[in-house]
Amino acid sequence: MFDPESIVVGLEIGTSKVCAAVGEMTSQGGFKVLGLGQCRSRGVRKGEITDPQKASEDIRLAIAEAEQMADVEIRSVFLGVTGAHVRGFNNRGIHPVVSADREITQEDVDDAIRNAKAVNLPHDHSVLHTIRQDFVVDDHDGVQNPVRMFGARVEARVHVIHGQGNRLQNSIRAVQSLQLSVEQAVFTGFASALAVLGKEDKEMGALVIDFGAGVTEYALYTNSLLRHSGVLAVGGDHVSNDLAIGLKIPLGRAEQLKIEHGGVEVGPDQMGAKVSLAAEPGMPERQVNLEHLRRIQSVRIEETLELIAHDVGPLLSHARAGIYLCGGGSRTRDILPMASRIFGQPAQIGRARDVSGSVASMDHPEFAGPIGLARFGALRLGNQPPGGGWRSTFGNWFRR
Amino acid sequence: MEEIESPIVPAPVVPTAPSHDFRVVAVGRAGIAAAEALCGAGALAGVDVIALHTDARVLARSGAGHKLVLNSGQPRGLGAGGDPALGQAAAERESAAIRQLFQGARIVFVLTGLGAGTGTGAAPVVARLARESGALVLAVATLPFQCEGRLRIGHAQAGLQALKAAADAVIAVPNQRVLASMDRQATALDIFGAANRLLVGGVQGLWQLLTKPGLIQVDFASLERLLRGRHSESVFASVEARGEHRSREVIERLMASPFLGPDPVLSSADAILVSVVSGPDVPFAEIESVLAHVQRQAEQAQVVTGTSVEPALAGAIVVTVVATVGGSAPLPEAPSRGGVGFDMGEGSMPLDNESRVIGDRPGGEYIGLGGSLGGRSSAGLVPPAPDLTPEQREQLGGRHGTRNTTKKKKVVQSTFNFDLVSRGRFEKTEATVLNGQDLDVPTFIRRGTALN
Repeated sequence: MFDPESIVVGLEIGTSKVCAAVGEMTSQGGFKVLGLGQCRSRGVRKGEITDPQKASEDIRLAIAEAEQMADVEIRSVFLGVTGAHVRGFNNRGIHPVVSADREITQEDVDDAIRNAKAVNLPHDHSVLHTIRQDFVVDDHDGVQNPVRMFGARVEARVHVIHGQGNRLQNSIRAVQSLQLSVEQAVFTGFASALAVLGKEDKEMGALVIDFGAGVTEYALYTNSLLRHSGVLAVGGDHVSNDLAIGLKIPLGRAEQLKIEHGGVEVGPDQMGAKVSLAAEPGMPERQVNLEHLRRIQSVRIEETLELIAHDVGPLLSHARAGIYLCGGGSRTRDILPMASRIFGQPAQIGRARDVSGSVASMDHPEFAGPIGLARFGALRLGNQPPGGGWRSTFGNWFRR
Repeated sequence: MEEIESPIVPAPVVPTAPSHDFRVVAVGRAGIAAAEALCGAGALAGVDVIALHTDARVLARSGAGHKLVLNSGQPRGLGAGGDPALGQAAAERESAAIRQLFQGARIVFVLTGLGAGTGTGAAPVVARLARESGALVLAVATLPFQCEGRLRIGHAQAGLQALKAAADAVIAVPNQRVLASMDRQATALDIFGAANRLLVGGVQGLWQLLTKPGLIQVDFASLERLLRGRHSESVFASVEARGEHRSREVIERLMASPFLGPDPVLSSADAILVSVVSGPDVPFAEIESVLAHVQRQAEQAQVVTGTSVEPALAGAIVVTVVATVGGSAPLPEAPSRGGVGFDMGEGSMPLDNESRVIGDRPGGEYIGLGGSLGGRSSAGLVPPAPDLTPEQREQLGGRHGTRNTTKKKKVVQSTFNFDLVSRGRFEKTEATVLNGQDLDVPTFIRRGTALN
């Protein structure tokens, strides 16, 4: 029914949910989402697996649902990885052109990239992605492809994303224990940006913030190049936890309150207003101060966005297409005006773009991650061999 | 009132030589051993070391310049026998004699080992008396090994609290940390040697900082401003490196120091004093990189830096760091002093002027206190002290000193004690620490957002 070669699956093991997206590369080079499967996640904290047993069960359920919806059999996935240990930075590699006529060959370019990859990482870290940015030929900046140009020196600029090897292996193992193979481990923040940003957005420059339950990832594009990426191990769980502590209510009810009454604006309507928590067995009915709820949530989200703005720094002004928020946290009431104020750029909800298929699934900012992972897979498989605009060294190690 | 609120008082010229302003007081056996190690290292040339002990025989063996036997009340000149109460009583009994020792002192180092009788009981009293005579008191106290037993550890904790309340700053040297940093093969001699070396290094570094003329001078005033009235616990580390990669090595060693790790002490410190002493041939860029590194590590803290050049240290860098963690902000002098006693010199000062403890001591020496400190002016808040006889005051100070101080501290406590906040859902996860802040702790608590 389907050509199994054209099926790509993105799997994100998130802190609140495990989600698998099945996509298909169409013959016209497009990308279509065939199905989504999700399951509440129990064994994950701050984006990293803390209970492999439970995580495996949840992955199995999510995969099974996706298989059913898309009517395919899933054998391999592109796995999203994240966590506080994942970091991104820019690096450069230099290669002198030695040929007599000073014409730059593909080998020169490869050498320059190889030099750029030889980065000094902490000993237990592995490289997840080495994403090519642009080249400098002699002092000529912003060269897209220097092959067949003339020059004495090629400098390759790359963005390197790396993470602690053992912690990355945890999620890879959890998937492999289900007899699924992992095509490649992909940084979720990068995948979300792939799903949310169109070609024009990347060109104009945009910051994508994936506000998840456990962690918040962000990636910044300028001039179609990935320039900055990072992870902040703060997410929606922190908001719920703050509320549970501040309002003295159980965590489950804090979560529920956050969804029903949460928001980051404290307006005159909220001043002194109360909301009631319905009575449950063992819990009497209670009134909760709405103003406090909003204030607690507001300072946490404000702080999180400020930390990201601080980390991204002056590059922010290059994000002319604005800020895209995705992930469950982007559903917070009034978060967009707050983000616009903090980043000084227009903010909008990021949804998967340039994708055909079930529209309902794409409308949810929560699914940007898994759809982006499948999209990454489609781009990667579509470009093989050899790698296209971006390359990876990491995934191949884990293919068994 | 106006007179009280004006904090600037012209400093009279101090005629005495600096070395006379310093006193090193060794209390108890461990303190005396530390002082001897210091003298042996030649760190305290020309400084009076005063040894105090309840056991006359230990004192007889020590080579200190001044000795004072604290009569523990035990027969035949026996020591306190591990009972802090006896040590405290002995020091109280000799308080007049001890006070004599601090005549004209501006800075007093109290060296002691907590856990047993004399050090634990007497050191807080000695610190209080030194403080009452107007000196800045820095206590350096070793804490017992865990294997020394619960009783001693309990005593040591209580003693540390008392010492923190009495002294301006306490530098705790936990022996257990030294043990943890050594490998399993280390002998007892190695470990005690290492503990002593760390202690000597730290005190020596601090000493140099205060006494040697520096290029960027950290003088007595800046130390005092940093520490006075904090009643805090500090850690210190002093490391040396030489050779080509000295600036990097020195940072690595500093970070690896048992007292600064494994917790991120620097990033959570409130106040940090860094001194870099280098040989005359060391480029300034290296010194700058070391200082910049510490500054980066300690974004939250108030950092005081100093550098000086020491001809004997050709090709080497010595970095001394004193980091103060978790103290209250420097208090306006009056409340904190009020807790530990009012007796200034001969009691010549009228008590209702307590809120500006400034003025000339009978010896004519200026005591720089109170007004120059940061923080809010306390003048309007402090009620006039009750009219007490000197005996009553002493009694009050002695009995309620500790409790009183803790209570006063609570009033101005500006930071929340995070240990009390449950991390809730994140109990068992790795803490998300960024710039010294634990992001798992609710933002509204860290920012002190008021929820009425």
